[in-house]
Amino acid sequence: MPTEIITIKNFSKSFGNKKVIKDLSFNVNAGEVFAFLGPNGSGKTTTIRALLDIYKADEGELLIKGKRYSSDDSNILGYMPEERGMYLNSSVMEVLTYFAELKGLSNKDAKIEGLKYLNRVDLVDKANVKINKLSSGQQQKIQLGITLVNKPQLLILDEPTKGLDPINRNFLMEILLEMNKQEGATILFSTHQLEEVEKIADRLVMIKDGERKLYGEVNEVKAQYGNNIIRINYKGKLPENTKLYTYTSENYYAEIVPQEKVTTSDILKFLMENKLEISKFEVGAPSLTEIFIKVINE
Amino acid sequence: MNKTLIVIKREYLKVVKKKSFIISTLLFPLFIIIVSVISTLSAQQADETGKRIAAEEKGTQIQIMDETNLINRNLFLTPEGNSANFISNKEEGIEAIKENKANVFIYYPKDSINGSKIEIYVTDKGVFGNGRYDAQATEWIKASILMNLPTDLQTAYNTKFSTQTKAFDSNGQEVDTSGAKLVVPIASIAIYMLLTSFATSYLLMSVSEEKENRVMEIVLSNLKPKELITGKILGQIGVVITQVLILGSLSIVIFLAFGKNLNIGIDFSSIHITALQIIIAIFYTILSFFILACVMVGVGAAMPTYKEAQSFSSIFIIISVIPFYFITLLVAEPSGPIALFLSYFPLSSGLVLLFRNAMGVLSPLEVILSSIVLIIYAYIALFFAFKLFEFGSLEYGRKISWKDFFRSIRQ
Repeated sequence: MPTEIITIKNFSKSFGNKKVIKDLSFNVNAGEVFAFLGPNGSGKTTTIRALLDIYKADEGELLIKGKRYSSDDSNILGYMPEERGMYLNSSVMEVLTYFAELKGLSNKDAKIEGLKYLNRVDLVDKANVKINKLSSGQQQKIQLGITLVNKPQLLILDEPTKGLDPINRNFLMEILLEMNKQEGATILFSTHQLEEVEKIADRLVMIKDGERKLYGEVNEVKAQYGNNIIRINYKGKLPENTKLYTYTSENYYAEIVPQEKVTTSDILKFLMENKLEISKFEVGAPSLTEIFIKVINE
Repeated sequence: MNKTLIVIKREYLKVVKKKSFIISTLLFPLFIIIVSVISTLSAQQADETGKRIAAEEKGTQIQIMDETNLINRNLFLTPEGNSANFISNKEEGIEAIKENKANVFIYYPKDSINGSKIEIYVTDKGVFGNGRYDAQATEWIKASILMNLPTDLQTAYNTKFSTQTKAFDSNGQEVDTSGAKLVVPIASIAIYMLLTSFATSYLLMSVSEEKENRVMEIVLSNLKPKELITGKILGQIGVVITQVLILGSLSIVIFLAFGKNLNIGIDFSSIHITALQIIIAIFYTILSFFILACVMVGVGAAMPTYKEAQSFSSIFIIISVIPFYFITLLVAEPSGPIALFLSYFPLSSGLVLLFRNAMGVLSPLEVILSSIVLIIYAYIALFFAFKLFEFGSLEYGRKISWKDFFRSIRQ
C-alpha cells in the first residue's frame, strides 16, 4: 500500500459569503508526480495555501505526512507559489542562503548547496550579483533554486511553468523529473499545460468551482472519456449535427466527440453523405486538454 | 539556527551593510544641528533687520507729537542720536511720512500711560523693518519718566541685578533648575527619534518590499508570521542600537578630544538619574517603539506598494511627533493638562512619558497607570498588525478593502 504524503479530506473554505472550496478530498502518495488541475479561480491556490497553513481551513483536514503542516517542517518542503517574487535588491547568494537557512541548513551548508545549484544552472558567476540585475530567465532559475536548495522530499509547485519560455520550461521539467526519479521527491504541481501532465504525471485531480470533478491515474481518467475521439483535416464546411457529435474546429482541423452510443462509422458516414472533403481521418483517445474543456463546459 | 534569529540577522545586515546607513547615521546629528542653527539665525536675523534699519536712520529727524508732556527733549540732544522735531498737529506728521519728508512720526496720545496706544507712522521698510521704532517709542517714554526721578533712584534703577533661583518640589526637596536637567530628557528623545524615524521607516520598507516583490508567500511557507514580524522588529532595534553606539562613541571621542575647548555651559556632574528612571525609560521606549512598529507592519501589509505605504504611514508618524509642537509647554509644565493629555494619547504617549520620566515628574502611581495604558495600546496594535498581516500580506498589487477587513475581524 502506498504511503500517503499529502492527505486532503473534506476540505471547505469560504471567503466572506463565497464558498470557494466544497468538501474537497484527495491524496498524494510518496514518490509520485501528481497534477492538480482546474481553470483559473477554481480554488487550486487556495487549497495549496491551506495545505501549507498560510490560510486556515473552515472544515476538513489537510495533512502532510499525517499532520498539519507547520513552518517548522519546511526542511522537507520546496514550495514555488504562483505569485513569484524575490528580494530584488539582494544578491543571488544572499537570497539562496537565506531561504536555505530558513529550511534548516546551517549557514555553511546553505552556502555550499547554493553554490552547487548555481554551478548546475551555469550561474555561479552571478553569485554576488543583485537579483534585479539578472535577466528574467536567470531570475526564474534562482526562483527554482530557492525551491530546491534544501533537496526537499516534497515539492509543491503552483503553476511552475507560468511565464517560462520553452527552453526554461524544458529545463524545469528535466530538473523536476530528476528530483523525482533520482532523489525520490514527491511532486504536486498545478498547471494549465496539460501536455506536460500527460508526459510526467502519474495521477491527477481536477477541480471546478472548488469541487472535485476528476481524480485518479492519468490513463484511468482518459479511459473514462473513451477512446473514440475523431480528428479530421477537411475542406469545406463541417456540417452541424448535435445528435451525432460535438466538435471544436480551427483552420480546417476539427476534433469531434461522438455522442453517447454513436459510433465513429456513423459519423464518417454522415460526413461523407454531406460531401465533406476529408484529407485525414484519425480515431484515438481524447487528450487531457479535450477532457479538461469538456469537464469545464459541462 | 532559530528562524527568528535568521530573520533578525538578515534584517540587520540588510540595513547596516548599506553605505547610506553610515551616511544617514552621521548626518542625523548634523541635520539636527543645522536645523537648530538655521532657526536660531533666522530669528536673530529678523530682530537684527529692524535694528539695522533703525541704525541706518540714526541722525535723521523724528517727528513727535507728545500729548502726555512726558517726553524729555534732552533725550534727543546727543550728537550720535536722532534729532526730534516736536509738532502739535497729527495730520501734519502723517503727511510728512506720506510725502517721504520724514522716516518716522510718533504720536503719544494723552492717555498713553492709561493704555491708549502709541501710534507710530513709518516709511515702508518691509515686514521686519516696519516695526523698527516699536521698542524705541516705548523706551523713550520710559526713559523720560525715569529722568524725572531723583538721581539716586535712577542709579538704583540702572543697577545690574543678578539672581539665584532655588526651587523645591512638593516633598520639600530642592530640585535642579539648571539646563543640565534637560540633558537626559533630550538624550532619551534622541534615541526615541532614532527608533521612530529610522527603524520604523526601515521596517515599513521591509514589509512593503516583501509584499511588493511578491515574496511574502514563499517566506510564509518557511516561517510563521510571528517569527517574521518579531525578527523584523528585533533586527531594526539592533540597527538603532548600532546607531546609538556609533553616535555615542563619536560623541565621547569628540568630547575627549575637544572637551576642554567646548563651552556648553552644562555641569554634567549635576545630572542625577536613578536606575529606576533608566529602567522605566527603557520600558517606555520599547513599548512605544513596539506600538509604532506594529502600526508600520499593518500599514506595510495593507498597502500594495512601499510608496503608498509610506504616504499612509506619515499620518501615524505625525501623530507620534505631535509633542514636539508643544515642547515649550512640556518643559514649562511637565505635569500640566497638555502633558497629561498627550501622555495617554495613542502614539504620542511614549515620547511624552519618556520626557516626563527623564524630568523626574512622574509619580509612582502615574508610572503604573501609564504602563498599563501602554501595554493595552501595544496589545491593540499587535492584534491589528497580525490581522492586517494575515489579511493583506498576500493581496499583491492592490489595497485591502477596509470593509472586508473589519468584517473578517468580526468573523
